[in-house]
Amino acid sequence: MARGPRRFHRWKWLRRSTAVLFLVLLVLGARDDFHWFRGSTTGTRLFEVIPLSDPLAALEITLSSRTLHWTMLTGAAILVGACLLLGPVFCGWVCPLGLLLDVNDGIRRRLRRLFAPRKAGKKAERGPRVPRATRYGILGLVLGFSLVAGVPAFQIISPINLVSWSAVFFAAQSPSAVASSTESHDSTAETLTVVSPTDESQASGVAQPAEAPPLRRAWNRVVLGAQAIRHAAGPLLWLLLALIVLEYFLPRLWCRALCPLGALYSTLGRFALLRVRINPQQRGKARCEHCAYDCPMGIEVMRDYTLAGKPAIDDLECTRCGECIDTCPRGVLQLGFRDKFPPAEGCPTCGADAAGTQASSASVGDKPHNPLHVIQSPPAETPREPHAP
Amino acid sequence: MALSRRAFLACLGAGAGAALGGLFRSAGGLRREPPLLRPPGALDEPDFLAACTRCGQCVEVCPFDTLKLAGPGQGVAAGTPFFNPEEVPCELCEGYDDLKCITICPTGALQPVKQRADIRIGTAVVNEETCFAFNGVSCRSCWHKCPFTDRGAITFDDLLRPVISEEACVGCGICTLACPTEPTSIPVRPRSWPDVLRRGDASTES
Repeated sequence: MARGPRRFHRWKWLRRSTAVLFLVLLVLGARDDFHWFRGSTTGTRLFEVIPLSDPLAALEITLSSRTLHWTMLTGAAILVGACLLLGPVFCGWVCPLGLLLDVNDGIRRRLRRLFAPRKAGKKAERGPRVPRATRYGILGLVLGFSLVAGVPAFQIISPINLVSWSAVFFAAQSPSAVASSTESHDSTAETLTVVSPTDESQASGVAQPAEAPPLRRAWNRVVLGAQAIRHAAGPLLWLLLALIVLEYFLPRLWCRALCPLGALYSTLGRFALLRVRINPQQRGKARCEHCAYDCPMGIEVMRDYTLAGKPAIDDLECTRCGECIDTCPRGVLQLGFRDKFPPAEGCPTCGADAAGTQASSASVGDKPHNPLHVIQSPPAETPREPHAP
Repeated sequence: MALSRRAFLACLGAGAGAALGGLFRSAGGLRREPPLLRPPGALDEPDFLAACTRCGQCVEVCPFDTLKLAGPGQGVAAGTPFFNPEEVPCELCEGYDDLKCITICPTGALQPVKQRADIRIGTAVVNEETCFAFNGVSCRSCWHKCPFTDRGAITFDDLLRPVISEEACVGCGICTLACPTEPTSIPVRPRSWPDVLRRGDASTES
């Protein structure tokens, strides 16, 4: 395999941890004994006081109800402020659907490596690109629809909501509660009997005989939860599953091309201070392109930023997920509010002063000294084999 | 240049969305039958659908686990709170200072009420074909549980059959659960969509 040594992907696990933590807190917040984290992705209340509102939901509700709801707008203002400062970090670090699709894409890359070993380089893992401007069109579509139809269009069909509702509400609701009040009483009885025929407390939704072994009971609980989710989600669940399968052929289709919430956050985070920064010594130099192959949003980090000599990635779509930092074998990239790279050293080969000024002013065609001189070993580890250019 | 393409697409999308929204609205896409029973203080159904953020905080705070979250299978009502009085009726936060769902709602979808008697979730309706009292069996289960008997929400006529006062009934559904028949003989008719409801009445009468 033409890959460097397997390294610990610090940012990946950090951001997956925060997304899991958010979801776990939401699920816990639904319990009566843990009431500091109420709500779901469209609106959350921290410590029973601080409101947080999804900016897109707030925008849609304001348009559809044509009223200013001040609590909701306060909550939206908090998140908009965070986004102005940090950029669209929601996408990579919080979004439950983003977490699901991130893991899904990880599986896709692994399968790709397993079953297509000959083409198994990082490049092949990237998959076909999808147009990224469409999600701004969808954002407009959603807002126009909300205004005229008088109903928050995206909140109803949002797979992000579906994931968070399923985890927080549907899995715990008995299937009968999930269905409308008038239909499906008999079907409830059926589902519950299928799971555990000896059950007597059908209404409680915890259908399990007391003497069943714990594993069996846990399994029953899972089956019940899955049935409840399927019951509540209806056709939208199949759309979500179709999307997950589709992402094996068009990687990160949802995040890159479809998600209007991501489009709104990207627009808001246009001038954010938190950015992926590029080591001044490495700007303008061609390297391995692993960053571009691994970027979930399909940003050409190497071609458009490092090679172009830019100080930081200012792509609208960059979610500050840190995937490119993880994958970079040379420590070219950093996530932060300002550069914290170690001070530049002189070129070890030709002795040229490789300070940031010189490197950043260097254009691709006019190099101050041979850039191959400055292939520095990263501080901790060296890639075992050099990558073919 | 790239931004202008995005802005152009967004404007294009907004126009298409507005057109689709108009079509959706004129085609009656907001209607949902049968209508759902909403929490206390809820706006009229179309306004409620427009103002509810679908965050589910009311569902989580409900002390009696009355409120449930409608799923995307429910169409435009996806993510909105509702309850089924045959499982758990609205106890009107009996024993609490305030109505929890109204207090926590981040939008105006649930409006504050001055007192509990002002709540109008709907009106209980007696099904005369199955009600015990209408069929010669003495039964006052609904009256026994009704929290507003002092205001005359449920009274009895000369033949000891229950009569609902539309002015006093809040539509909490406590009587619905109390009714011994299966299915209940005193369901709650939701307040909104009056014309839909009238059709429902006609079908029960015939």
